[in-house]
Amino acid sequence: MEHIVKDHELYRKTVFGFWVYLMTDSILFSVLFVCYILLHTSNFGGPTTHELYSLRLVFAETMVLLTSSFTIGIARLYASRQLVRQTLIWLGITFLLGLSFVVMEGTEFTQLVLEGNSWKRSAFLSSYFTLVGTHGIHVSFGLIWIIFTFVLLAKRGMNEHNFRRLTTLGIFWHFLDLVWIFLFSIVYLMGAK
Amino acid sequence: MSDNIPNSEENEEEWEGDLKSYIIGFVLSLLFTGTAFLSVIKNWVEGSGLIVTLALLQFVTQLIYFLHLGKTPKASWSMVVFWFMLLIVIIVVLGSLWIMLNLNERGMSWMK
Repeated sequence: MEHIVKDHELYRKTVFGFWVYLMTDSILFSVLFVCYILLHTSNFGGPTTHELYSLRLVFAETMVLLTSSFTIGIARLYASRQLVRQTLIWLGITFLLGLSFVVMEGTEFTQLVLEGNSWKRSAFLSSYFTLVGTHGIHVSFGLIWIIFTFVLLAKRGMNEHNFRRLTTLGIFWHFLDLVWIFLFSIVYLMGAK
Repeated sequence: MSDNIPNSEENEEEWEGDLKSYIIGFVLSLLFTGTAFLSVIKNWVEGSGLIVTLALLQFVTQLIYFLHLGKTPKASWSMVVFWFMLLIVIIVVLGSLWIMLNLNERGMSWMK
């Protein structure tokens, strides 16, 4: 078996460039976090953090996202051995987990809006929806990315481009889980205290 | 970050080492998340020091075991960018909190 990555320079550059993008993305998230921390008590007579969050649902979301971060790592490991079938299976599992995460978050948001607690209700809810929603949008784009990678892998097998694609996708997905740790802790756990 | 290129042939050992690293990271993360969740549900401690500590522990765990950050022995550019990001984030977060919390207080007392 030959080495998958032939153009090492391109591989390194792509991964590094993507890493730099993620670092700037972290700065974006840090700004949204500060906004939330400063505004989370400004509820304008509306519901407070204690009344809103359903911790059990959020805990389930956390578990699902954490597991998906693990499974995409396994997919990447199989890819490095050029085992396409196993890679596709683990990538598929990651997709399903990510999808259930987005569905759970969507349910949570819909419920909040239907109860009249949308982003228009208070500064607290505006910052809450912006912060959690931005993360949710990232995950949704990640899902689209997984579909693309999955189809290309199934069609063309494991080649240099697909391997590079999968590597950056894996880093992206791990990054989303890293951001979620802080969302879970700062927004939900500390909000429920 | 996994910018060291994995081989497809010779090193079975390295592959198993990578798998082990993912499993360790996963188990540790589960442990930290579970403890943080239980501490809130069961109301173990007052204040949020424990939650923040567990979050930071899990952050470092995932950086090491999932993203393999700093695995290459020599200093890499990705580490430089990472530390620079951390610096900016700390300035933005602490700076904003410092300014906003103080302005608020002064503004209020001045208006009274």
